[in-house]
Amino acid sequence: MTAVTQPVQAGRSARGERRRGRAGRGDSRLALWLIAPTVVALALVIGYPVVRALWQSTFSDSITGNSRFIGIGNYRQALTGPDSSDFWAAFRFTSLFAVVTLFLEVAIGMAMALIMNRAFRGRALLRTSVLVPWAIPTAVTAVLWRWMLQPEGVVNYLISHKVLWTGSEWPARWAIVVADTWKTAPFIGLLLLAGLQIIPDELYESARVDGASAWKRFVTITLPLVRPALLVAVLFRLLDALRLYDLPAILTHGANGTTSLSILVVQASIQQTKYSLGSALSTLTFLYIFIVAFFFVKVLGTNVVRTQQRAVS
Amino acid sequence: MRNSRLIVAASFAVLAVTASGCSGSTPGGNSTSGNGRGPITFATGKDTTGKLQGLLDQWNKAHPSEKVTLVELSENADDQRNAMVQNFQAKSSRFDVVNSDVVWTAEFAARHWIQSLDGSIDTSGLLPATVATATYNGKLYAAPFTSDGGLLYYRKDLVARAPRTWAALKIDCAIAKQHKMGCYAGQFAQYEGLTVNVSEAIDSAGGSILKNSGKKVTVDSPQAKVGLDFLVNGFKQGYIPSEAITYQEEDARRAFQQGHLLFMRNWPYVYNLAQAQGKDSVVQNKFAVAPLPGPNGPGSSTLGGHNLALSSYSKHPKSAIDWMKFMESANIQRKLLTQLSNAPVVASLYDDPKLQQQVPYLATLKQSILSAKTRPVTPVYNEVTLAIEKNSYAALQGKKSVDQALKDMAADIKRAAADN
Repeated sequence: MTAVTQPVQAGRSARGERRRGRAGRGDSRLALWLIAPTVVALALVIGYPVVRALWQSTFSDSITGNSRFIGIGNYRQALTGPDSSDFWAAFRFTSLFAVVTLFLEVAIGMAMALIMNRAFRGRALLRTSVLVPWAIPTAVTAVLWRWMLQPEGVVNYLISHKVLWTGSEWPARWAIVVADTWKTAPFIGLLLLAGLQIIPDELYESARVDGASAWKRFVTITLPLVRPALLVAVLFRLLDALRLYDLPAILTHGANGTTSLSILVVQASIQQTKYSLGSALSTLTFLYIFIVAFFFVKVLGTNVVRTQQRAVS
Repeated sequence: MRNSRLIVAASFAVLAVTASGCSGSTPGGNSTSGNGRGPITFATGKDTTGKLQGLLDQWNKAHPSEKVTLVELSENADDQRNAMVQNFQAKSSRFDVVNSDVVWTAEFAARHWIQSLDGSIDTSGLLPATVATATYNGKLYAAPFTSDGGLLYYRKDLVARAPRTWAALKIDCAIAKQHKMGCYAGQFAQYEGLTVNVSEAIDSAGGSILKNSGKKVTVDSPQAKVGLDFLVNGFKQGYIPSEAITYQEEDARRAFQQGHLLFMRNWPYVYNLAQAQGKDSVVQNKFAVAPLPGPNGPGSSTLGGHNLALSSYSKHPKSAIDWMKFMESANIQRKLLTQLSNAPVVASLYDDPKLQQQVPYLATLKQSILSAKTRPVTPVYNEVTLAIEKNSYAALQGKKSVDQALKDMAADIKRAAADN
């Protein structure tokens, strides 16, 4: 974002001195030309797929190629048809997963950030090593955990209890939550660490002089000041969690109530070759994620752009 | 400054994750010539043996102007199908011949993605069941290429004779108990392997899932109940160990090789792996194979394997058909068995004494394949198999009664068939 706005401002000051009178119109035209490539690129890579999916979702699926316009038929089928229980189950699981992992990851990530923010020997090493789970591709994470969660695997050995992790509903869900938390908590920690580092030490010092306890300092200084970074981290994470695909796809194949919305989309559009129903499902998923993001930006005032600018400057 | 570096690192991480969608494409250049002859490509799942190219070289040497290029797809079946579907949808001539799993052939034919081979391919010497998988609406749409059938692996050091019936198998389970091992396992995780195991149980009991080219749903029958009951009771009564609900082929193989199972249903590929010397397996020379048991005598296996299908968008169909005939010749089929461990589709090879000596499980495999039933031949196979998996899995877990599971299964399959 900053990369785009700065040249515009520079252009304004240089031209503005030469011909002050018509500056307003010329500037806006220049700005238009400068952002035009971005707008075109966005329209192509974001606008077109969204519109195309919407259009596609209004047709029927047919093996023989005779698909016809059926309006909201696919949406009705997804939301209230005989298979609608699949959609709602996926909706519930995806939402539950998002809320639970978010809670765990923010709590653990915050703890990691607080530790990493302290000055001690080996801090750089810790910061690097904490990122290792995040650096591992999710697909590999899934295989790794699948291996560890086998009936004869190391996890069952450690808890000396034979849990069939991928054999029934709640263990399978927990397996996915644990694997995701293991992978993503460090990422949240990193984002929060960036937020923590802009809090001046003086605030803590004076609070300490006033006799505030560690908990009080955390609640009254750290939390409010880290809030912008926290909201951004939560937003990123939430959007990510809502389009969950790879972990359950590999760890459980969507069995045992771990079919996420994205898995449902792939099942319909790729495995069953029902592109229109798949488009309808992906549009519904898109709407759901969009509403959540909208809520965050408008109601909670998450400002992704401003926070980044502050961190960069 | 430090903050900015962290932010940059974080955003790169985000970018790396979000940008991992696109992938490149590989060649397959076609020089069009009007007579339907020229170089062709063969799209198939990854050849883990590395021996397939050798067979193709044999053809390429004799046909320098009609060379066939191997296009190796993923090892995973779903990914293979996706790659094929994408090419067909784009009407691309990049794949001339695809190695279609037996269960995809009907759908590809119904969508007119592959050409009818009626009259071009002689199927008289082939195993009839393999020809059935390549036939849709009474017409041959693909050339049977490889076959596969389930076998009962058993510990011959612990049981004298393989059980021929389910009742005999249950009696032998006392031996498993003595040795503190699981008795019987197949593939019972919720995926395609479960459909294979469930249809085996149902077919063995004389039931069926679909009839009349997928037009009549027959799964809510008393016979089907007997079949599914065998698996459900296995978990209830313990002759199938509880962890088998998570098993795919490899998990079952590992358990058997480590000595945790007395009986196992699996494919022939396990034979050589379990026989290999080393720490990986404690069962070398201690196991043998037999046909799958059924309720009152030998059961029937589910037929696996692949068919060669000719893309409707191929520019050199004549060369492709000649090459398919070459791949079905006894000479190549023999090498498929000895070098790639693929079960041949040419019936006479199973009785070849030399081959029987070389491949110890060949005679049993023949019995398995001769009694094998195809999985439902239907263009909506993916929905049908999902219905089978979902409902039978719920029954195995005890969440649904067997009657309810079969009733729901029938309803789901009927709806899938009616959709199209």
